[in-house]
Amino acid sequence: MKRSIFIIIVFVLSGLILVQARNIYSVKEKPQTIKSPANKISIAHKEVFGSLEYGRVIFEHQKHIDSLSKVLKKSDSSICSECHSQNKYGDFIFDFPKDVDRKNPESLKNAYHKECLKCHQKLNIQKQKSGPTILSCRDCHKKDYEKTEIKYSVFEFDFALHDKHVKKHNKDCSLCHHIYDVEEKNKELALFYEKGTEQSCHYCHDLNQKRGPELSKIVKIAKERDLNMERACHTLCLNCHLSNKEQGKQAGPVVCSKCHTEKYKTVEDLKDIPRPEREQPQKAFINIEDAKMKGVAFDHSFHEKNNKTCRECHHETLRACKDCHTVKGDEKGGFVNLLTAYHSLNSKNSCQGCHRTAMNKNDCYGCHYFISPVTTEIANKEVCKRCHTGKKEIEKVSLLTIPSERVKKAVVIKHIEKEFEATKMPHYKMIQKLTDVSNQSKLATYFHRDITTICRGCHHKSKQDAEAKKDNPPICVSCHSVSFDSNALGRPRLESAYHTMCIKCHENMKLEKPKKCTECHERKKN
Amino acid sequence: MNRREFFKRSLTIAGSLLIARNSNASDQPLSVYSTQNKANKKNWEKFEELKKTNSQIDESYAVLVDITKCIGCRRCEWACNEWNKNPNRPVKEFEASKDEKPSVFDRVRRTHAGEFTVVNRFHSKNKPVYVKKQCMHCAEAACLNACFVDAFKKTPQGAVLYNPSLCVGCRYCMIACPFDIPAYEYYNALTPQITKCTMCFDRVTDGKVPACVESCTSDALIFGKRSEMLKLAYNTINKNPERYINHVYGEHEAGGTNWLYISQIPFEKLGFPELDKTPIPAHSKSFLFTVKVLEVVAAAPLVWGAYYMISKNRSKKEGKKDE
Repeated sequence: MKRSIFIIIVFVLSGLILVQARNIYSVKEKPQTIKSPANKISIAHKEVFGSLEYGRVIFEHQKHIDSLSKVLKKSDSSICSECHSQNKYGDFIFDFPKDVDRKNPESLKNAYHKECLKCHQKLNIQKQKSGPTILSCRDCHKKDYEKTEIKYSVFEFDFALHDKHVKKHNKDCSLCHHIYDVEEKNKELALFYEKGTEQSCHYCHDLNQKRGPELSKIVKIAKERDLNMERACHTLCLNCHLSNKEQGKQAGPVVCSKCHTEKYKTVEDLKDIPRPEREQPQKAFINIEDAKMKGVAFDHSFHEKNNKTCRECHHETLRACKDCHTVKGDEKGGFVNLLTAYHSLNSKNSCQGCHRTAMNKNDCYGCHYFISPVTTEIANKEVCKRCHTGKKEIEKVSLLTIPSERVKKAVVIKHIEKEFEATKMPHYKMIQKLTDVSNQSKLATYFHRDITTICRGCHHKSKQDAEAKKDNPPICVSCHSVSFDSNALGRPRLESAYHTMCIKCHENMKLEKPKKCTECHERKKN
Repeated sequence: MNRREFFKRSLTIAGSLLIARNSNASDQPLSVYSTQNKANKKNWEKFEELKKTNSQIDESYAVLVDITKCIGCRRCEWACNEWNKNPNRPVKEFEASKDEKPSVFDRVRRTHAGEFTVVNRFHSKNKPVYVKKQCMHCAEAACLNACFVDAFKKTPQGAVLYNPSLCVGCRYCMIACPFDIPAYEYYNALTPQITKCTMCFDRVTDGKVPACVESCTSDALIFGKRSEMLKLAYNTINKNPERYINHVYGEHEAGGTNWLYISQIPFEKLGFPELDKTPIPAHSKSFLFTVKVLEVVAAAPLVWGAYYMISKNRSKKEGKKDE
């Protein structure tokens, strides 16, 4: 009897422990993200409410527009004022509810409940179809919504769209572009348009970026008015589109999913689109007065076509680099001096940083995996001269040609003959492929002046001057010893030199062959 | 003969047979059950021998493994087996496993008796990454500290060596090792043996490099003085910051090890344990010390107490009997 009671107690206890353990160790379900939300909006206001007691509400924006316009017998575009307030210029401010202290959670919550229910109840009294009318929380704050999250992909106003707008509005930039005068006392006049100052919205309205001293004053004001990219663009674009629609003109989209398509154009797609004109030079000569180096001829229009935005180089303003970055560096340029601004290897905005990422392409990375980038500290005259020509015209460079009489057709590697058949390396074919790759890229053509540059991809670390006198570049075995050399630990042995260089190059260039060891060397049969 | 008697007799016969078989096992040829590996013993004897000569070594050696270079040919495994006289297969079969399906690389292996080192395959961005695994030869080894018969020694050359003649087969070292290295020959109850990599102590003291290092076809393994290896490791990382993560595994891990690794992806993804700078023995040292202190201090009163209780009990019993 006693024993059975004991067993029961043990069972109950272990059951309790299991239940507790499940509570503790169970993973909280991650909310499921809807990628193409079909014009739904998630209302949570995390920045005001923190975590919501009843979870978020998923609001069917388009459905509300449709049913409201049906009831009120008004057009789609004129119905906005039912929910959204207008400023004195008649522009909508896309906030809901109207005129409420949006920083105070209590008043915002009450306003939401009041405004939503007021409208629902009004329709209900008129015997129209309406949403929930009595205050039952889970009618709107549905349990399912806690598991779903709505995310609109970022919209990209690319050059193709910009060009479309420019053409439509006959080059009237003032419709969208403006600047803000911080000094102006009369706040109403502070925002104005001035020709020649057009630049990206991001500069002032992207509140997440850290900006320089000049811009941060304006960004601060944008922050105070809560004009982040999302709100600034919605206010500007949607108001224009809506008023066009109202006037019966051809208008841009006003529905969420029409802009937030998750489709982005590539540089290749934008190749033939003309870039915005803002008095930028076609070809520039970058020459700094008190700098040590000679000037650099720069093809501005070519670089425009190779980037998706101007911001990729002009990260802070659309002014020239030297306007902010001085030779010695000062506060205006974030204490980044001119040398670093052009040559930094770690920056996306600098010349060398961008060229370096270009070298990480499959085609280039085969060789450039092994070649450490040239830094300004260790560069030699030859290398610097490539850009710092001191001439205003960009040098004309000819394509590479292979001196076929000097290049071996095939190289036979026999050094592991004891175990393996000799390996035949298609020397000429390899050079041909690399030369083709180089000739197809303008960047590569400019920097690979001589066919020996291609040779140095494999025949590396050799003394260029010495070889110019000789006919053949050094072969691998000249430096890489067959056996372990304790005097040069960092230098790979011959077998390793082949393996590392061949395999890594093939891997990085994403070449199909060889996949197996035996595709290079067959084991001897005996 | 009743049932009890039958069991008793049959067990005695079985037991005596077992003992008899094991007692002269050394004379027999290699058994299928046991590798009968002598590498650890041989290295220990060499160590004892060298101790007498009193040769001075200023700095320990290390092997630097560059994971980015390894091509997975498994020649190091073959060379290790060959040198240490472990059961081996033709080198052809080792090399072929890279392209085979199914392959030994399909699962992550660990070292075991008769295999002091294994190469495992991991994947990063659809690219295979090969990682060699063997004893890391810690500066303050956990196995050494866990062993209560002192069967492990850290040599000045860097290798952690093992003495099979002292071992009692408790396998505490296997539990203590954070890298999961020491292996055990399970098939032999009376002459227990742990087997593990010796960092080719016998070769190193003869002025050669470890067998695996010598056989490496892509210089993923480099052998030299530990400080030089560290220098080389950081040199390689600094020269190619985008090809390597800035971490030399083994520089500080578990108080420093004599095998160092550099890699392009974080070591946690390659089956390396995440360890801090504290040597593993430091965690148990203070506790084990208090045990010793307790033994010394409390032994006398405990023995006295036990004796007192027994005698008291006895007198009580005797008193009862008397009544």
